[in-house]
Amino acid sequence: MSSGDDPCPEHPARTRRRSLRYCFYIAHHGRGAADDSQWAVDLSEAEEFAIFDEADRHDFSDPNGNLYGLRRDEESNLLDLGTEGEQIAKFWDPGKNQPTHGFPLWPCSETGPENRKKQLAPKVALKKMLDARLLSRRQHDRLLKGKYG
Amino acid sequence: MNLPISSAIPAYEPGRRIHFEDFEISWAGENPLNGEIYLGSYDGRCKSFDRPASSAPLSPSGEAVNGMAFSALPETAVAVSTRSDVTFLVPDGRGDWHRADYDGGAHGVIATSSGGFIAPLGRNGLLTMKPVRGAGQILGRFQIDVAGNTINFYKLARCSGDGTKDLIVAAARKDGFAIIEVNASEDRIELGLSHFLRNPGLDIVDICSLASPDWPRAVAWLGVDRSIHLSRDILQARPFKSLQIDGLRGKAYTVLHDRGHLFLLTSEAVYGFPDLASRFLSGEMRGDSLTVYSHYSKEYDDIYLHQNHLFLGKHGDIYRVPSESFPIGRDPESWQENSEPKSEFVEVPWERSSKQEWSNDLLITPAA
Repeated sequence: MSSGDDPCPEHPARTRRRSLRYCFYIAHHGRGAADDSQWAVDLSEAEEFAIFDEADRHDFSDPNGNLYGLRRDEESNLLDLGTEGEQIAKFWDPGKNQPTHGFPLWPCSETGPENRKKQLAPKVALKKMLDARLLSRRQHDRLLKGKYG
Repeated sequence: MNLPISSAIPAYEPGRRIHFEDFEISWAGENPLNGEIYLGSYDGRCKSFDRPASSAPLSPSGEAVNGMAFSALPETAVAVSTRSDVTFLVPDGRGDWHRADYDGGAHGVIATSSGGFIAPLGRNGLLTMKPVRGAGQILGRFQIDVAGNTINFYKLARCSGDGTKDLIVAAARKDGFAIIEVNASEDRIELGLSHFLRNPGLDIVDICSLASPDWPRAVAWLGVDRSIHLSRDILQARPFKSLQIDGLRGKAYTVLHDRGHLFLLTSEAVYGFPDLASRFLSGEMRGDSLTVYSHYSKEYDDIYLHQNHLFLGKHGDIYRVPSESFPIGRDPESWQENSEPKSEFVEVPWERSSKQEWSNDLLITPAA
């Protein structure tokens, strides 16, 4: 990725629904701490933004305004988003006219201080994906159990 | 006994449907101490199938139960896992329970022969616990690095155990699989010499014991690409046998062994391989002579074993089918026999490392 010294280089496009801005945070692109989840190396910037765009389009949000996204193939199989097989991504609440960034979510949470605790894809966001038919019931149920879809 | 089994069996479903109006089943399995079926729900509750009227909310987070395990020492202790927490219940000897909660998720939990529990935490390692009466419970979290990489523990199976020492095998996704020596003391579990084997191109997603009297340390493990790998003695016999079977569909989820048969759940089908394990262990199997029964469905999210039956999870219900009959289930029309698929043993090179030093955090929970 072409970051230079910018820790979060911004994508030129905005989402179609709310015109949200997006940037690619280097901590989740190979330059973070050991416990920072990493986007899959075969995922292009355009694909990462497309996941964010679709999350905004369907409003796959939690009560705090964070968004959640996924990637599927042409046969509706879930594809990995992260280097550890993660299949759901979280995008922080974009706020007002500020670019946000996203990262793959681990399938299980991790104990630790609240600000470093690994988070899960919330049930409410997975239910919205199910209702939008972007997740099958089988995929939805397996993700709720910490398994891959 | 009034069992809540639906008598209505849809024509397209093999077997009997287990359905509860107020309890969507996320996990099913046997308590080996009494033979009862236990069920977990999508909202973190657990109950015995034989006492369906009462359920206990065991997961503090209310997340879906993805594993339960039962230990006989000192009395029946229980472990329950979800993607958000692991809960241990230890009898206090006065009719109540000591409770210890781990505030992190696991992919499941198993019991050791020594009465302890081990849960795979993904990149966060392995969670161990040995129930003790009347005192704080000691939970241990173990991690290990191999070639600078922290192993990602996904599924566990007990390979052998003598009441003090166990041999545990682990599916570790792209980190391959692991063979782990587990030692129990009075109040805790320690992990010892361990072997890690990986093939860079393989994502190992499940593992199960094939133990028989002649081969107590026999194991099968599963690649997400539906490759099945077999060993008569995981500590001795190499090279392992790796089986590629043409015509299988879907992303592989689970491999199970029951009395010499192997079963495979994928995202598109349930497959039964009659006598595959027993023929492999007796040396009678060639790579090109397999019988496969297939039931195509994209609906099943999980598969479990209980007393000669397969339990197939679907939409919060369970479909129970006998595992010893082929074709499996009550509706032969839904099962297809593919008697001679193209299959072969292939050579898979395994990179091997052995390590003994685990990093270890201890968490001591107060007696409550």
